[in-house]
Amino acid sequence: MRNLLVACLACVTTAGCGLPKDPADTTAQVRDGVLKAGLIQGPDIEADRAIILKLAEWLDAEVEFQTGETHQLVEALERGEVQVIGGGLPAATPFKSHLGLSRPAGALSGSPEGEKRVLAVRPGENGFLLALNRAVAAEKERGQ
Amino acid sequence: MTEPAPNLPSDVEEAMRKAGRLAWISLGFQLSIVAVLALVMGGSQALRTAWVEDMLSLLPPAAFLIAMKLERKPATRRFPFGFQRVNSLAFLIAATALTAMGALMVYESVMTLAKGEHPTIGSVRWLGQEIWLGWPMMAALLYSVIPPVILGRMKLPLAQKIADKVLHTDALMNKADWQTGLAAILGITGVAYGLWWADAAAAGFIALSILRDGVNAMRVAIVELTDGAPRKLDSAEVDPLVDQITERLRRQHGDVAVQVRETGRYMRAVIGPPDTPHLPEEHAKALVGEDDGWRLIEVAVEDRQSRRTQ
Repeated sequence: MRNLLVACLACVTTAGCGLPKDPADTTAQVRDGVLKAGLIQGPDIEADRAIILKLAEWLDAEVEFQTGETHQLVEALERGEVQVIGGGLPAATPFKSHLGLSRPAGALSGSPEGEKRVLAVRPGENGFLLALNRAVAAEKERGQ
Repeated sequence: MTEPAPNLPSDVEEAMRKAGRLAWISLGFQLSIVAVLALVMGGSQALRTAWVEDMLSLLPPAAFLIAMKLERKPATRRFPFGFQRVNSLAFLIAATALTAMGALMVYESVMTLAKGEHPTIGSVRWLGQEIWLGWPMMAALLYSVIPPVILGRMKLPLAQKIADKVLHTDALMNKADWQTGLAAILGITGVAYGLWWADAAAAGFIALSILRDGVNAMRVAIVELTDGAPRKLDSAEVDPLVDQITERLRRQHGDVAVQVRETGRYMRAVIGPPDTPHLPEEHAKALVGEDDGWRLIEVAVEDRQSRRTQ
C-alpha cells in the first residue's frame, strides 16, 4: 500500500507523466533549444540569473539574457519574445494579471515591508511554471 | 385565544426532525469543504467558483433551520396567522442563492472564455517536492463532491413528505454543488493537458443548468409570496390538489368561489359567494369607517365543522 502511494506520488510529482502541459508549448520550445530570459535591471539580477541558469540546465537549453524595464519585459513576454522574467519582480506586481507568477524566490532588495521577489512566465504555461518553481526551490536550498 | 402551530401527523413530524438533522449535517460538511477548498485555491476559475458556490450553499440549510424553528411558534397578537410564511420567505432566500450562484458562474466563465485568459495553476512544496497545485485541488474537489451527492439524495424524499420547498431547493443546491465539483475536476484535468479553456467551459456548462433551476425556484417563491395557487414541489405548475379541493368544496357548498393559496408547507382555502368577490361596501364602511372602508375586502368565517366530518 505504502509502495503504491509512493509510486503514485512519484508519478504525479515528477515530470515523468509530462503533466501539466503548456497551452503554448513553452517547455517543448525551450527544451534542447534556447531559453530567452528577461532580467529587470536591479540588485536582484544575479540571484535570479542563477535560477534561470538552473532551469536552462534541466531543459538542456542555452540561455539568452536581455535586460530592460519591467513593462517592456512584460510586453516581450506577452509577444513570446522572452519566456521568463526575473531580476526583482515584486510578488504583488501590478502586472499580476498578465503573468504566471512563480513561488517566492527570496526577499525583494530595497523593500522596506520585506516583500517577496518572484519570477514570471506567460499565464497558463503550467508545466513550464512547475519547472521554474523547481529551479527556484533548488536554488533556495543551495543558498541555505 | 391565539392560534397554535398546526398539528402534524406523526410520520411528518418524524420526517421534519430528520430533515432538521440533515440540514445541520449539511452545514457542518459545507463549512469543512469551504475550509479545504480555501487551502488549495489557486488560479483555477472553476475552483474559485466552486468555493464561492459552496459558501452560497450554506444559505439554504441555514434558512431551512431558522424557518423550521420559527414556524413552530404559536401565533401571537402581533402575528395572528402564526409564522408559516417564514417558510415561504426562506424559500425565496434559498432560491435567490441558487440563482445567484448560477448567474455568477455563467458570468465568470463567459468572461474567461471571451478574454482568452489562461488559468495559471502554480505549485506547492510537499515532502520536499514541488507538486503541481492541480493535483491537491482535484483531491479537495473529490472530497467536496461526495457529501452533497449523498445528502441531496436523502433530502429529496423528505422534502416531498413534509411539502418543503426550502429543503427541495437545498437538495437542488447539493446537486449543483456536486456537479460543479465534478466539472471543476474535469476542467483541471483539461488544464493539465494544456487545454486552457477546459476549466471555464466545464464550469459554464454546469452553470447554465444551475441558473435554470434557480430561476424556476425563484419564480415559484415569488408566486407563493404573491398568494398564487399552491405549486408543485419541483415546478411552477399548479398543484393538482387545488382542483381537487375546489371541486370537493363545491360539492359540499354548492356554487361557491374557492380561493386556495399556500403559506409555507400549508394550504389555506377560502370559500366565498360566487357573485360578490369582495365585502359589500356598506359592511366594510360600518366596520372600518367612512374613509378607510375600501381597505377591508374580506371577512372570512372558517368552517371547521365540515373539516371534522370529512
